[in-house]
Parts: sequence; C-alpha cells; structure tokens
Amino acid sequence: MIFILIFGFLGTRCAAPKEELKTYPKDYVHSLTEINLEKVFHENRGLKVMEENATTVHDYYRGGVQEKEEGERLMKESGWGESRVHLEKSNRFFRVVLKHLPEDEAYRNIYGNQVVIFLPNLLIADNDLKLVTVYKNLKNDNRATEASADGQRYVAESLKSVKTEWAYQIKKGFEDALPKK
Amino acid sequence: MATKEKEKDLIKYKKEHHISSPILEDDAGVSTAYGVWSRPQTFFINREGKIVGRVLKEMDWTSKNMKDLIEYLLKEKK
Repeated sequence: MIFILIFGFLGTRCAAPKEELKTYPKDYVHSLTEINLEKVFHENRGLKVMEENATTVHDYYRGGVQEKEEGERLMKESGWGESRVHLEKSNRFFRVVLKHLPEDEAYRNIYGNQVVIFLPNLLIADNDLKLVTVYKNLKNDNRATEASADGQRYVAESLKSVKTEWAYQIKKGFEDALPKK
Repeated sequence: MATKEKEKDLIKYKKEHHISSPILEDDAGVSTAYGVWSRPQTFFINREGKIVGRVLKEMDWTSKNMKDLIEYLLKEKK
C-alpha cells in the first residue's frame, strides 16, 4: 500500500494572488516585532529538508533556516563543534539561494497568497555573527575574523534591499564582537 | 489536500471533475509541515510512513512513467 498526497486542485487552477502584497517606502525600517528570527524559524519549520532532496530555491531557503535553528539550539548548549557544522551548512544552503535570488525581500510572495519573510543575505550575516562566537570558543581566531568580515558584507548587502531593525542590530553586533584596531 | 478553500467550492469541484478520492481541507498547517511552497505538489508515502517520492509539477496520472512508478512502489517489500 502507498499513500499519495496531492497538494493542489483549486489553487492549481487559480494561481493569482488573492491579496496584494503590501508595499513600503524605500527607507522604511521594518521593526523587530514585525521581522525577527523567531518568525523566520516559525515559517520554515516542518518536514526537514535534506540536502540531497532539495530541488527548488525555496527548499534551499527552508533548509538553510532549519540548519540555522539547529545550530543555534546547539550553541545555547555550548556544543560549539556541532553548532559550527550546522551554521556552516546553513550558510551553504543560503549561498545556493543567492545564486538564483540575490536580493533580500521583507515579504516574498511564494505562491498564491502565501507570503514569507525572505532574507538570505541577512540570515548569512546572522549566522556569521554567531559563528564569530563559535570560532572564538573553538580557539580559531582567524576563522572568527573571516566570519566577521563576511558577515559585515552580507549585512550591508541586505540593507541595500531591505531595511530592518534586525539588520542594524547585527551590524552593531559585529562592531562589538571584535576588538577595534 | 486543498489549502484555504471553501467547502462548497471543493464539493462543486469534486462533482465537476468526478473525483472519487477524498479531498481534505487544510488551513495551511499541513502544507507548511510538508514544506509545500508551490502547487501542485505530490508526495508518495510508503507503508512505513516514509516519503519515498515527491513531484513538483502537474502530472499525467495515466502515463506509463506514472504507472511504472506506482507499480514499483507497490512491489516494495512488506
């Protein structure tokens, strides 16, 4: 016996968005209550995306978020080595996304009226900020410096497309994380 | 599985297209759990409850490829 589960039918016939996406002025700063990490985690939970099964850009995005959540969970338990593996894997997923969709979007309409927070650049920057701490704990200062430099580039890239309080918080995090020259 | 559709629309659609299999209503919880970000999507789940196949586009259910795939899955060892 097999079970065949099809998602579709009426939605397949009518793919036009039911709701217009809200637009924001260019310099609008999305607050932390509006866009934050917990919301991103929540939107991407569910069936675990395996690297070998990822086929669409959105699979890679979800996979990146899921690896990030796991990496952060392990980080809280001071599992630095394991945390590093997941955060680096998360970044690999997001870099695949950026090859196809290089710009962050506060809200991306992915299908019909299904809208998600879509910030691959910012999520890499956030991973890098956390990797700075991870590498420091693993006594790998060179990698910490590299992660900081990379992360600052990604946060700048994110801010070119979308302004969020979260991004400014990460930017400040990088400034505070490494000693000033 | 139909996401965020009205029951009366589903009943009408089922009648119009002579669909005998059940159509379940989903308030987006199931599609989110399965990571469905585009439609149509089809999942093949074996007797152990494992997802053994996934298709991200419309399919001709009467095609040889599809029949072969289903027959192959049905032959899986118990």
